[in-house]
Amino acid sequence: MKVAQHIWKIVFIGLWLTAAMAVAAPDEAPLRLGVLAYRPKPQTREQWQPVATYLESMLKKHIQLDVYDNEELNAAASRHAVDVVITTAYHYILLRHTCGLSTPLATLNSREREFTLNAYGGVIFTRADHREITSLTDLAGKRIAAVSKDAFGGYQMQSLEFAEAGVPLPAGDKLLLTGQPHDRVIEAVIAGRADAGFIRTGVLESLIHSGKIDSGAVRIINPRNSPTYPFAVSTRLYPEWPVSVMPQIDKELAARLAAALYLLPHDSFKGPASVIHGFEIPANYDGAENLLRVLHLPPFDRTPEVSLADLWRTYRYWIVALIGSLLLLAGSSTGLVFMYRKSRQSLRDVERLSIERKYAEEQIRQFNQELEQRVADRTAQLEAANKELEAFAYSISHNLRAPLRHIDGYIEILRQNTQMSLEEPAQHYMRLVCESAEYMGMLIDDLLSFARMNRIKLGAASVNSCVLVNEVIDSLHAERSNRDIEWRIGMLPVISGDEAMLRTVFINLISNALKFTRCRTHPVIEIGSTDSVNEVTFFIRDNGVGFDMQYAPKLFGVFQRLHRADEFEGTGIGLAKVHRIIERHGGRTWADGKIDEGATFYFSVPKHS
Amino acid sequence: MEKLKRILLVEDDPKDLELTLSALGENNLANETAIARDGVEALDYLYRRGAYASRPDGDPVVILLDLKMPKMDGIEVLRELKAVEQMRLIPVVILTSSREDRDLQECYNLGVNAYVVKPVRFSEFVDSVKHLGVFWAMINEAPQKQLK
Repeated sequence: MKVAQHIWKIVFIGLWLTAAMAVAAPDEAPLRLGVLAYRPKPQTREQWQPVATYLESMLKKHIQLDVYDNEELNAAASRHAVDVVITTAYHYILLRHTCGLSTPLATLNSREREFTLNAYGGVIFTRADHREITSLTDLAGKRIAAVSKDAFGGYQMQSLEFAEAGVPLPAGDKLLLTGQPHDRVIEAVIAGRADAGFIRTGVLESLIHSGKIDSGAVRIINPRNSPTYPFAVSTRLYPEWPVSVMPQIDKELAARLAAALYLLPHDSFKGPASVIHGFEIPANYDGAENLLRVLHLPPFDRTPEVSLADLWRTYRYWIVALIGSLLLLAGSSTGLVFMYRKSRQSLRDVERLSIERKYAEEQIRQFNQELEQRVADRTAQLEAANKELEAFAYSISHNLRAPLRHIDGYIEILRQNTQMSLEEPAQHYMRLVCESAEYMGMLIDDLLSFARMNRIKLGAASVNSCVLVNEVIDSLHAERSNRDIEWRIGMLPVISGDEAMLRTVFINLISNALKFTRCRTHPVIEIGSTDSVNEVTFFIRDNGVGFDMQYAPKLFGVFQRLHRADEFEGTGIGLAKVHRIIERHGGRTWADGKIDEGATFYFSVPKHS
Repeated sequence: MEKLKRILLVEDDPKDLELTLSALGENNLANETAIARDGVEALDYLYRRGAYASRPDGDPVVILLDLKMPKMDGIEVLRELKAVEQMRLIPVVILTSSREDRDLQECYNLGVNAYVVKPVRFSEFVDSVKHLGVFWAMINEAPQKQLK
């Protein structure tokens, strides 16, 4: 049944071809058959001429056979000077993209001795004695021979294997280009001009078969032999040459051409053409196209033919990262611009502030000047006031003392003159008048000496308070005579101040202590000091009559007294003087006391003064 | 012919004058005392001019000089006396109520011979004046030019 169908098909095609030939005019333009010559052109022509003749007979059309090398075929195709193109898979794909060559009508089946082949591959080999070269990676940096970089089976197929294995292709003087035929590559490797060689499948076996080289002379690298393929191979297998037509050929002619090719009986030719076994339906050339894409070979060496979607699929993480980075960069740039503006603003602010500061400084200077002027004015006023005060004190000392003296003088004269005649009460009164006058004289003297405290310039020297206290105690011998006083003198440091004035302070405080312990049978007077960071605090403690703390604030006032005159003598100027002197030293005065239990008087002197 | 007085007392205050004379009187020196009531009068007396043009020739052995006086005060009188050759050698004792440093300093600078502060207490005052009178009028040896 199948055989019957086959016969019918052939009969039908034969009838159809006959009819078509009848229609075609014999003087029509010839069908130009362009074939790539990878061997010497005459040899190629010899191989293909029988095919041309067969087609002429089948298509009843004049066939013009043109044999081209790579470049010539490219040029012819671009000029449309060729109608049917028979070339390598690689070259076919290039011309399909550049000149609109059709999809393959048929694929060549070749014959190599007793083998029929519809595919071929690349061979990578080295001389058998290069023992260090066993795999593709060993070829990195080695000198490699090949016919040319355009050779599909002699270079490009091997390139894809190198690329996939991550081995760099030889470049510069590491690549020895021998030119056609492939035999020269084998010669170069065997002669040692190269470490390894690229050739297409079958060449090696052919040379061994013809006895040109010894079968043990070379070793195959990266062998990928398959049981169905008769030759050693190091790469994928790619289909044999396709037959395709240029766009100017109409579909009918293309169909008749395809039919004729399919109908060519296998092994029709003898002699050189015997390499052409026949033609079969087109093989899949996707593998070859993929190779060109991966290696970025023409026509895929320029713009990659990928869509945005492809890009997105393949590089979406990179794209996202890139966009992210760009956004980040844009953000940073914006931030930078913002910061720049801000810093410019800050700079302006600084300038403005600097101007304001200058203005403020000028104002401060003016204020200072005014202040200095005011201080000078005020000082002058104070000096004037001080002078007035001095004049006042001067007139007090003169004018107030004189009447007192007169009172006392006349009372005295009166007493002398009337001593015999006056009664006792009258004499008593006269005595009281004299005492009052004398007391007022003391008050005036105290007042004047207190006023002097304010006027005298303060000296600043190192004062040994221990020595000072001992001197003062010695000088008060009149007050301590015939008394059994227990002195407790503590640590007394060297301080800074006016020695005469500080002496006055100690005299007043110690004589007070002596005075107010007069009624004690066992008087105790304790003098000491405590030290802090900023000041030294002295204290004079006694076990005398003490005082009521509610009157403490009055203690240091001028003429303030907490005891009656008939209890303890005094004008009440002593503590006022102490207070004024310590105040002028920058210190403080205070007191603790309890009635009948004694009193403690404190004063502090700053360390810096 | 009026006898030359040995002491010139320059005092404006009548009470002080009376009390001073009273004190001097205790040593019988009151009658030996000439009185000037202010600085101008004192200089008139010493230079024998105006009201004193006809006073006996010669200088007092001591001048007791108050400081605070109308017209011309004691300091001015002192300055004048110590600046003039013929008066320079007459001893001058300041007798005053003031114990001001300023006054003391100035008087000694001008060459005063003594400075006495009048005590408020009359008995002390009397003692002071008595001592002064005795010392200057009786104990102290005056320069040649002055009369004893």
